[in-house]
This record gives sequence, C-alpha cells and structure tokens, in this order.
Amino acid sequence: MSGQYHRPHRWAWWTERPGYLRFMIRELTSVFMAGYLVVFVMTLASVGGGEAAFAEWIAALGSPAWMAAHVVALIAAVWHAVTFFGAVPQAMPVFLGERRLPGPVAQIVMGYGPWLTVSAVIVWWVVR
Amino acid sequence: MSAGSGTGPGGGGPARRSGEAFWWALFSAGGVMAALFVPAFVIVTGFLLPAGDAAVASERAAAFAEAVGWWPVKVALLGVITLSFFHCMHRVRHLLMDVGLRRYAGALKLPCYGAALAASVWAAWVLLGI
Repeated sequence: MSGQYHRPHRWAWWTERPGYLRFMIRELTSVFMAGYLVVFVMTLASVGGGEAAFAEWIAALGSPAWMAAHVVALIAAVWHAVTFFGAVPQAMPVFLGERRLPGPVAQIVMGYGPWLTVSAVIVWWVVR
Repeated sequence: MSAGSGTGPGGGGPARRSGEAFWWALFSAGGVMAALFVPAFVIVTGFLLPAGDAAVASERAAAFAEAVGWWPVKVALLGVITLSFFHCMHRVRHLLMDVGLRRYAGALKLPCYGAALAASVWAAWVLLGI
C-alpha cells in the first residue's frame, strides 16, 4: 500500500453520514452470519452424533435465548441478501444483444427469484 | 458483485498487487451463496426444527437428517459453507481495515482467512461424520 495517500479519518467516520452508517451495518451483517454459520455446523455435528444428540440439540435451540439469536441472525442474513441482490444491476449488468436488462428485472432474474426458489425448496423439504 | 463493497472512504487499494483479486472473487461467490442459502438455514434451525409439537419436531428432524446425510447435499453444503465463511471473513477483514487497521491489511489476512479455512475444514470433517 506504500505510495498511496489516505486522508486521515476518525475510526468512527461511519457515524458522520447516514450512507456511511448503512454501509457499516451492511458490513456488520457478515459478523452475525459467520457466527450463525458456526451454529449451523454445530447443528450438522449433532446430526452426526446420532438421533438422541440431534434431538437434544434441537430442544436446546427451542429456548428463548436461541430463538432471539436466530431472529438477529435472520435479520442480518436477509439484510445481506437484499443488499447483495440489490447491487446486481451495478455489479453484473446483463445485456440482451444491445439492450441492457432493466435493473429491477435483473434483480429478480439473478437475485430475488433464485433466492425465493432455493428458500422455498429448503423450507418445503423440512415441513412437508 | 464487488462494486463498492468493502471500500469505504479510504479506498480498497490496487487489486493486482498482493493477490487481492483472488479474495474478492471468493468474496463475490460467497456473497451469492450466503444470500441464497443462509436465510433459509436460519428459518430451519431457528424456527422449523424446534417446533412446539414433539411429533412434528421429530418428523422434521428426520427430514433434515435424511437430507444432510445424502452425499450430493453434503457436497453442496460444503461449498456453500466454505464460500460463505470466506465471504464473511473477507468482509470482517475490510471492516477492521475501515475502522483504523488499514496499515495491518497484510497481517490481517492470516487470522481472517485462516479462521475461514479452519471453519471450512471443521465443516468438511463434520459432514464426513454424518
């Protein structure tokens, strides 16, 4: 990074503008998702531990504290998905011949559509 | 998918030097995987598996165990989990850089990507054991 000049800024620069704060909240979703992924792998590990171990782990997940943690994780994961797919038109413009696919269409085709499909299949598999 | 991501005021620096481009590619792929799968995973482990009714809960547990015991699902899960971990830890590294640790950009690679790698190896080991 030598040879570059960065204007010095306070570490809490992200409190200065709403846009900066939104950026920081989006970045923080990754902390909660990483934490949740550890819980998810622990769930898989309990499946590997046999039926009794899995049932015990699921019973633990039913506690209010774990429910609250899952609410936080869900908000973070949904916010990650919305912001990530929201950036599709800028990050991956789609062209049909000469015409550029309109932003909302690209978001649905490349983002929200597959997201809803994948989520529906997973939820259906468990509750069917 | 990385336009504007992870670069607050202060910039991201040239991607060609120091192999940054590789981490951004992993970041993008992981971002897609996390966005597609993690919300549904949270709904399943947080709200569907711990159903109030014991009979329903045991049926759902059986359906979940059956799915994750199937090898194509294991392979897919390993891909989703690994890429998502790298996505998250790349963002965490840039988050730390953005709040004042930019001068340690290089040194932060080992703990951040190392943690992602360790978590992925753990996930692989867990999936093999199902």
